[in-house]
Amino acid sequence: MLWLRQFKRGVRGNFPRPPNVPISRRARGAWRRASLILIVAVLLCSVTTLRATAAGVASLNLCTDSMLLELAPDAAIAAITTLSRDPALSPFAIRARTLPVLHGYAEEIVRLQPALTLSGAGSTSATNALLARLGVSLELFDAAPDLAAFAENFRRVGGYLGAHERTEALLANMRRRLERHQKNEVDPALTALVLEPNGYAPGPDTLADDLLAAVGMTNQAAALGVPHGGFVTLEALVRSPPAWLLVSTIDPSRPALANEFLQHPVLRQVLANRLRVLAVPESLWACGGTYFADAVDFIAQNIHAAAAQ
Amino acid sequence: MNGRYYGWLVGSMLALGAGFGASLLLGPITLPWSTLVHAATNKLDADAIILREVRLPRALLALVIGSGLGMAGAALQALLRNPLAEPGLIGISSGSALGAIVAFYSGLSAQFALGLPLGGLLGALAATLILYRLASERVGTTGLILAGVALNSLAGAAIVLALNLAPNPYAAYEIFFWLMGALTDRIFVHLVLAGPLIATGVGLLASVAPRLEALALGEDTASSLGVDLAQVRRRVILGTALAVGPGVAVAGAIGFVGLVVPHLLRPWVSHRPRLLLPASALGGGALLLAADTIARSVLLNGELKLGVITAFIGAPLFLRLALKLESDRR
Repeated sequence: MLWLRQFKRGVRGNFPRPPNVPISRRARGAWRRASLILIVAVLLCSVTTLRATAAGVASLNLCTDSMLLELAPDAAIAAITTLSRDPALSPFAIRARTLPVLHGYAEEIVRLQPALTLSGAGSTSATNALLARLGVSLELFDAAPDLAAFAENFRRVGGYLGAHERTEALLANMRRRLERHQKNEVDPALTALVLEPNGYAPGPDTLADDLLAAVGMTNQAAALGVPHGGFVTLEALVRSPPAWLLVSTIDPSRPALANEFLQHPVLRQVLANRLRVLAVPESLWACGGTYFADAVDFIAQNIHAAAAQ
Repeated sequence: MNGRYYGWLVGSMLALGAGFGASLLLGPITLPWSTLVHAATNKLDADAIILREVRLPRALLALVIGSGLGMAGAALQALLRNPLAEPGLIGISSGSALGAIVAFYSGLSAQFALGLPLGGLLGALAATLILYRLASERVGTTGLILAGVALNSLAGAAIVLALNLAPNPYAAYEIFFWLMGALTDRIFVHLVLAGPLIATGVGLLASVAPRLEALALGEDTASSLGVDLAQVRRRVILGTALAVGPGVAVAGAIGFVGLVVPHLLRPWVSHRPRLLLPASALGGGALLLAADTIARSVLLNGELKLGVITAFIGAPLFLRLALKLESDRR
């Protein structure tokens, strides 16, 4: 079990090391406290190790959830986040309803004692630091900036699970499906802008940019003054509208000001002749997954259908 | 006196009109003068669309919301005889924001559009009534401000709670809009929703301006002059809620306008509420129009929140006024 080996290595790395400096009278209290923590940690770890084989892998982040759900059978999953049960965010929502969920609290992981915990590196750094202090075996993942980085993350998760073959099979399947679109040369006239809530447009080196390239579209972000991605003003959009605006499907039962940008009459009516809006289910591109190919298929189909009209 | 006052009023209105035109041309992209002319006729030109659909609604909203805030500040100061009374400082704006937030994130305003300004109105009314109750127990100038601090904290906590409970994950990030205010990408629908209610509030406050002037001489004198105090109070409370609440519901809580504007204008109108109220409406509109033009022009990427600009102007003034009142008392 590769992931178990990884787990043990992780725990050993987290032990507090005794200081080499001579112990003064004042430092003695601190030293005693440190030893106490050491003893508690050792006890905690031995308990963890005993249960580790049964507990499986837990995940604290929507995107590590997604990779875990793609790669691991239910029996190997200790818990995932509650976000994964939301069909708007995860393509695995139905399956996620049958699995235990976490709400992002460190306490939950400590009680659950999973053999390994996957978490996002950026979002919940305080929780991650606390878990590391508590001797939880933690593997952090940066949000995949592009498809290559996603494949790297995916292989890492596959490695912990000892699911090498399944990982490579899923990645190869995605590559095959993407290659089918490669006869579509990138058309400089077929411009598109991915617009996230609040008017954020991702630039190059993002999954969204890879998505546009896979469909054969040119990202308009640079022409709108945000070459590295950024917030696009409505005024800039009016001046140089792309041919297509790709947005996430909006759920009207969950209002947010962030979505009002997309409901502005300028986009809905005034530019209606020059700019088409395509709503893509958020679950297909909220995270990296081999279902990336589904997102590409979805966009390509809609765009070609519109072109055929 | 009155002749000169009306001369000033007409003059400032003309200046405001010119400022309004100029503000439409300024923003992240500076539009050429000619856009003002062809915006009405040319439907498809990008600059014309920007001016007509993006900047015009927000400039009109700035005027309407600013006039409501300015006048409400002047009226509250006259009614409570407290120069520090201001819708934002004493918690009326955060009460409105709470009402609007509940209406918006619960999905009510998606079903029933008027729910948004009415939510703001109800929140404002509740906050104003609570404050008036407190003020009538003779709590003094600083006591009212302290009550406002408490009300602000309470409403602020309830706002955070409501945003945490909202089903949309983006809601939690939208607290800055509600507490600092912005006119970014507001549309004509917002003007239609909030404008008439604010105008009613401004009208109601204007109708009691002469009686507020009598009140400046003291409650007993005002009563002996035939002023129905209870009616004046009712109108100011309702008028303030109408002038402030719907504006907060569409643009968030923008602070200090009701403090800065009456304070700056008071010497120009010989401290007479009858003249100060209409002047404050005009001044509030002008201030917010200028603030919104600055908000969208200074940063290359993104916009400032309106409340940031008004607080930079208003907070030092508030501090000066508070210290001056304290030293006057000694």
